[in-house]
Amino acid sequence: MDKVVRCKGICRVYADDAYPVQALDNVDFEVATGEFVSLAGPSGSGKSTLLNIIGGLDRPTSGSVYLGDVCLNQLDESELSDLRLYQMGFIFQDYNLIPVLNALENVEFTMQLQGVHPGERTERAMATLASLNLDGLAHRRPAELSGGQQQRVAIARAIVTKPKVLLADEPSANLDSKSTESLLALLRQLNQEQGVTIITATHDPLVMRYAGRRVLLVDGHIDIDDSDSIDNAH
Amino acid sequence: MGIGETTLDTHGGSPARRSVLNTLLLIMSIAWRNLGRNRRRTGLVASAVAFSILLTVFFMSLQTGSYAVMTENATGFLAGHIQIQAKGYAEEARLETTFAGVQELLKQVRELPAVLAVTARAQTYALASVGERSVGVQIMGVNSAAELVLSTLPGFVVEGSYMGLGDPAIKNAQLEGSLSLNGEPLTEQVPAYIGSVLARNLGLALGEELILLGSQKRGGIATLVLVVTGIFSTGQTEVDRALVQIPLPTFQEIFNLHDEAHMLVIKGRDISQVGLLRRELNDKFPGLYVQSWFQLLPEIEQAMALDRISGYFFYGILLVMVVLSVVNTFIMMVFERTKEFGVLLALGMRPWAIVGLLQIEALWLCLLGIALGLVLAAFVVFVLGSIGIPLGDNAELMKAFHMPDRAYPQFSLIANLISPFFMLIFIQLAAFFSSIRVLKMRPALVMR
Repeated sequence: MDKVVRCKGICRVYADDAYPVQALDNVDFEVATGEFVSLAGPSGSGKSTLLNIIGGLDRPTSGSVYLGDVCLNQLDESELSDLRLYQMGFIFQDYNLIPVLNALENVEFTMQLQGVHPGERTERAMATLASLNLDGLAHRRPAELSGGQQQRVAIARAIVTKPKVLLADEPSANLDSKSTESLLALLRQLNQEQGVTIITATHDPLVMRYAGRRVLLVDGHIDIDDSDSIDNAH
Repeated sequence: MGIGETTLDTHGGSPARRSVLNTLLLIMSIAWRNLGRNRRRTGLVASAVAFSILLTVFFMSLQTGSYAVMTENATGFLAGHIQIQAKGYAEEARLETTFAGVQELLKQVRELPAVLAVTARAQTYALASVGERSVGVQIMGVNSAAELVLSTLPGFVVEGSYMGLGDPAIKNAQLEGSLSLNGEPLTEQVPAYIGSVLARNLGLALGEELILLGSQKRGGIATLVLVVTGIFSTGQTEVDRALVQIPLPTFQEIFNLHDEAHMLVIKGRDISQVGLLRRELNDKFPGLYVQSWFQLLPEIEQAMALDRISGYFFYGILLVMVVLSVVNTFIMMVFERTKEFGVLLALGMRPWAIVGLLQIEALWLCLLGIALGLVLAAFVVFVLGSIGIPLGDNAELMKAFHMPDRAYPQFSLIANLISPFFMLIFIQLAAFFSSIRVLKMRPALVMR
């Protein structure tokens, strides 16, 4: 199966403080197209760091990251922005919706950056919101939505551009169990029906259960990777 | 790669072009809405910009108004807006340096639409005597009726009347030939309008005689008996001590000038168009030397230039203060919104687009302040331009110099453009240097 993500010998050292912190230590990691992977581990294990490096949100201190055939190390900031815009979708723990835009405009945001025609943009955004049962809330601003609703808008924003890889960092952290179940069902549906590759960093056991492949990080190393024992690609 | 250019496509499926217009519209919309996120801060910054615009536009309008008064006052005294002279007269004011065909020239100049009034003058120096006393004076031959329109000197009369004009007793006497002074009918006397200091130095009173002795243009001796019909006091000692005005025909006759004069003095309809009129006159009379009041009264232009510089210094300080407050606000804003910028970067907005977003926010903010400031300034300038600003203790002094006792700000296009222009430029620079750190942001680090 095609490998959509390949990480080779990734190290990440945070050297901002007097004492350098080794967040990732020589990590080799690959994700096949269509996988639903959860990166698990205790706080400080390096799961979010690895997710950020895969998403081009951070750069490794050493090692190489590939998205398809493109080596992220060789891209400048603008090229990384383009890569994120066209190839990736992000779901954040804090939703991170743009507060001055309503739900519809938030979903349209990335398409507008892509230069999608206004008519098509609105049509796709409304369809995506409707698929997440948010069509009645399209014109509400984030402050007027509940946490679960905001997270669903964030998911709509992430998937509306049909990204190759969906990266979710602690997506259930601010959700109650019912909303979490609903979110995970949605992610699994995206993964299984649309073939979206999903990588999520989490310490929520429920999220781990929904993932097809679980990778446990401890102290910047991959401690357990069940990819060999589970055929998780759909 | 810039926005709108082909971008990488790892899987070959996504559309690979960005729309500059889309991005611009998006960030303009977000920038505008962002102003409403912290209304108090937006209000404070916009108010600071507005206040600074109000102050600078008002003071520049006040300067413009005072320059207009100063210029009208200075040019209206004797110099006029424009003078036409014989070539060489400006370098050395000799009696011989005249131009001929005065009446024809006057006619031609009068026909120009931009000319409000024109008169001819001739002048020289002579010895003025009364009894045993003699002093050097400047004799100026004038057309008294035209001078009433062109010059403010007739208004400085303190005794008698200007060349006998407007004095019914003298006028009637001249017409009837019934008024006599020292046994001579007044109609045969030459009226003289002299300065108060000269009158005092020579012990002259109204109606008394003054004898002039000078050299004619072509070598003879010019002598003339004048009768003082008016005494003026301008407050300028050098003028009050030396100037004597007499009718131009008399001057031409006794100094042997045949339809000749030293200068045509012109008042234009609009002093701001004086440069155009000067060029027109230059083209029309290539054999003569045309000067505008800039050349005739360089000290006025220099005084205004000096005043402008001190004004610019004040405006500069004001601008710096406002810009510093905007820089401070923007630095705070960039720090406060660091995480938000990280999110925008993560979603695929390019770093320069975020800098553009902040620039447009600064632009909106600045335009808001400028609009408010200009509206307030227009109101204040309109009201105070109509009723004037009392000059307090200086009013009497101004009155003595025949200047208004109130200051009137005057609408100035330059004032309305220059201050907002510099405000825009400097606030854009302030915003740019505050937001440039976005270019170095790594989304993962700033989103923590």
